Amino acid sequence: MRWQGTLLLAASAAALPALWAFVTTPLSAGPQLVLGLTLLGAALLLDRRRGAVATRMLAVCSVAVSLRYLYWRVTRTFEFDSPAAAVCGALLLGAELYAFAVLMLGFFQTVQPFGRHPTPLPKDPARWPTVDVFIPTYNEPRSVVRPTVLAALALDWPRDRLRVHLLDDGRRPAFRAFAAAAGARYVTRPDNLHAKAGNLNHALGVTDGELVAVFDCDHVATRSFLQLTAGWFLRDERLALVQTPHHFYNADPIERNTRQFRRVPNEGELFYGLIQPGNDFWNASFFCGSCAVLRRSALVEVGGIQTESITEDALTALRLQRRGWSTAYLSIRQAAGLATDTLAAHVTQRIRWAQGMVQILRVDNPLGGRGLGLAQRLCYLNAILHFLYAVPRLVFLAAPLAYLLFGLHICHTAAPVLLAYVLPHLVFARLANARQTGRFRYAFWDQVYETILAFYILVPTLTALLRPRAGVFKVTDKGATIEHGGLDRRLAWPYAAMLVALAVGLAVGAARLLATGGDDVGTVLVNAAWSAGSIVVLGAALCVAWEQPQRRATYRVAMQLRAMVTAPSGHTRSANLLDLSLGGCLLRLGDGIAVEPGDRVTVGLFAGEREHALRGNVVAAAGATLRVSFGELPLDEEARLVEVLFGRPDAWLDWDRRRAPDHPLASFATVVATGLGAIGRVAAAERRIAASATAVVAIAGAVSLLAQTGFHLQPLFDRLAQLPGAVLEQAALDSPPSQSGP
Amino acid sequence: MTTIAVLSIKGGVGRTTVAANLAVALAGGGDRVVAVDVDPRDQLALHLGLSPGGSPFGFASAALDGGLGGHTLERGAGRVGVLRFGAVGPRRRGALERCLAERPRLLRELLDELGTSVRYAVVDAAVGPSPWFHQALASCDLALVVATPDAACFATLPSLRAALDAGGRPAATRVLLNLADPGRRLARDVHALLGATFGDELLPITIHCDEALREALASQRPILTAAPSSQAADDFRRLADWTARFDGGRDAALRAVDAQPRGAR
Ligand SMILES: Nc1ncnc2c1ncn2[C@@H]1O[C@H](COP(=O)(O)OP(=O)(O)O)[C@@H](O)[C@H]1O
Ligand SMILES: [Mg+2]
Repeated sequence: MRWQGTLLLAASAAALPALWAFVTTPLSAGPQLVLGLTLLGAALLLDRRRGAVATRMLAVCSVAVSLRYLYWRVTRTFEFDSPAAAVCGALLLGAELYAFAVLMLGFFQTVQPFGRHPTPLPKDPARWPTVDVFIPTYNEPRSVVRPTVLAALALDWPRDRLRVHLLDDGRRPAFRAFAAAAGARYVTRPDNLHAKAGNLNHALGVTDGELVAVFDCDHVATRSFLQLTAGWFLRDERLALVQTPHHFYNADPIERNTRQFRRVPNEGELFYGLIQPGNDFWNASFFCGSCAVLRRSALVEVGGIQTESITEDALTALRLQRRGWSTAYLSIRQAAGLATDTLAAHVTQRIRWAQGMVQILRVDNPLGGRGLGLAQRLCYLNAILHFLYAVPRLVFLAAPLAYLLFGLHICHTAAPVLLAYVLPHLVFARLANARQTGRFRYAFWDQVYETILAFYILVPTLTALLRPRAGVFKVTDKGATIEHGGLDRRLAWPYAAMLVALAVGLAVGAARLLATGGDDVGTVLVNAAWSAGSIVVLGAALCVAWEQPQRRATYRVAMQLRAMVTAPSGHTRSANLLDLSLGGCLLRLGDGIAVEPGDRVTVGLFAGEREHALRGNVVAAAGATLRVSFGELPLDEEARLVEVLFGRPDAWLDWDRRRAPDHPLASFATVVATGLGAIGRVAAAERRIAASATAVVAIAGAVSLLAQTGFHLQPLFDRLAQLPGAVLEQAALDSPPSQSGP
Repeated sequence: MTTIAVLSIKGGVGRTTVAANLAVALAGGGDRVVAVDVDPRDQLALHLGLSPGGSPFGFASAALDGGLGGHTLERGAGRVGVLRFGAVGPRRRGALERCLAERPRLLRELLDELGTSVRYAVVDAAVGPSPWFHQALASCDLALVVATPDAACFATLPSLRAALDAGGRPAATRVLLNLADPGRRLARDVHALLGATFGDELLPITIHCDEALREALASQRPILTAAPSSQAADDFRRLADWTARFDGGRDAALRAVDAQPRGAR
């Protein structure tokens, strides 16, 4: 290992001058384009090869190409003819540098994702650690909490070494009664100080198990959860945490409203599929608040769950690691939860995450302080920096407006040169990034995810940066129903406003083209294309803000299981389960059976060697399919249902198995279709607003046209005739440089 | 030939039902199967679509004659060859009991006469302990004990153990739960107790309580043809599959069953 490292260092040292030359040698548009195309060709060839080596080579090439672009950007294009342009130009360059920094950190963070396996436990269960399961709740409905508690009670673990605690900050009598009936301990405290962190800390004080497993009250564990996670604590005495993925079995608002549930990886999958395994390689995986096991002694050493950030989990992990404790991440879905239902709830939740993570930057900056290795610092830094995307994202969205609306030249170069530099940079970054993230994040969707939230996390993150102690923990709503779908105007207006602004920009740009002839055609076209891209992404954001109705309070999980049904007459049918939820199931029978809606039937579900019987009422019987609703189940039947639905160790393992691998062009097409489709739908539904917006765009274009031609329209028509020639001329690469937008 | 004796300690648990339907399910796989009734109540033929008292020849006369004597077997439902118990008067019955006591594996000898083209013999072995019961037990390769999930049946389990031990345990014993009804708590509890008592000897397959089985008997048809898409039919198909696997590699099957992780934690 050591000599390899030395060799690598030597090679890098030798390569540095070459890299320097590559980065700094200026080229005019033509040669730069040739260079760019050549490199791209090489990259595409490289991309055809499988394996980590090719991935890393691509990353290195991408970094080199991007450095060359940025060097050129800083040394050649950072020149302005007005203060306003300087401000806008600095913002744009800043955003680009941020994106580059995050990309670099991302490459580093995920250079070698660690596919950790479970460690077997000793044969003798008497040597297994004692475990306290904490289920904190505050105001969630009982229907959400019940399955979580029942599943925790059903964990495969020696009864005398497992205690389940329902930590009810809502102090609700019905919860106390339920806990008693189910066999869980019920814990309350006199105050609600420090919200969830305080709740967990209080429970730490009244329990004594060696390990503490934490489940948010809507995260239902499989029964193998502890068996798979606890082994590592015995193997590594300095291990403080084993985190597992947060998996959601319902569609989050983005998945539902774009109709991409289980087709396009959702926002969280990149983090749990790639980033956390990447962190794990650097011993920097962090606590995500739920679906995790912690070592009590380690927690106690750092004073329990930390309370100085509203993302107490990440800060706790950071503090543990500063004290020399290790953390682990096991990328096996061993619990399933409910994603937020509405975009509003999603936004609220993400504001909290963003705010909390930024708080950590101020409260306990991972770059400073003791106890962390450089890699750990960088991993934590990237986790935090990620949430600062609001400003850069908004800058990228709005950048073309600087030129189109105000005529500001924020990037001092000619369009062809710009393209010759920026395209290789973008395409390389995309390719290299896709190599690493392709399975967990499809191309272009990251822009959609960020655009949706950028408007909303902007102020909270900046506030947290300036006044880190001002955050408030807000419990995320779960299990809501959306009776009537439709556009959530409260959330959608910033998307729409920005979209209209860009449309105005396009109109004004077109007017400029007409008025000034072909001089600026390249610049206008570049900015127009960019605006079009922004518009599509904003359209996708509108699509997400258009809530699809969601009437079901329980989510049906498609599930293949052998089943049977017994009619009131005592006749049975063997059957196959098609879907199952906490509320009922759909069966396909071997043959029709004489039942009517309303009939009471018993459904048998065969899970492995276990057979579970649940009673319910027939909702619909059509031919050989039968829908049964369980209604209120007695506690023991509910526990059995939870076991079948959530308990099986492999319940969620191949959730994404049937997903197609990412094809960037297909993703592009999907995003464009989503965006444009949503714009059309919103325009049709909000006729008055759409009409006003169209009028604004038309008037702005007309006024700008008239103003620029000084109300002399004759020259305009002459220029119109010359325009095609001018376009061709401008497209020629050796055109004289002129100032232009980015 | 693999001989499967279906036994019980108590009447009315569905022993004959199981024997008849297992025989039909096994025959559905294309193998030649015979069903033999060694229970003087002579119900098996009825379950297999043959008229009661339709033929005087049966196990009883064959045993007394010391051989099949060239008689061909009747053909029951599902092309199962049937050797019913047959008519036997009170005097001859005493002789039969003595004869069985003298030759504990007489049944086996009769079955061997059928030749190797018969793949399975399913024996309705009567309530034990009794001469019939012991005859079947001593002649079989697999003893299938039928139990039902009720307190009365559970109470007979100690005597079942004693009876099995007294009869000289066959190569393999499995307990099959009939009338399974996991919707009822008591049924679930007794099932769990059976699991705790018999461990891996309790079959993972159960025969569910199914009205169609009663109706099938009323129309003298096996469940597989009377109600093929019922759960009970599915259960018998699974039982036949299991039996075939057991037969396919008796040791291997035993080992696989032993290695299977038990459902209980
Ligand atoms: N799984 C079952 N579901 C419903 N009825 C059954 C089932 N098994 C057996 N029976 C019924 O129980 C009764 C007794 O069965 P039988 O096979 O004659 O028992 P045994 O031979 O043990 O005395 C019969 O009417 C039969 O149809
Ligand atoms: Mg009988």
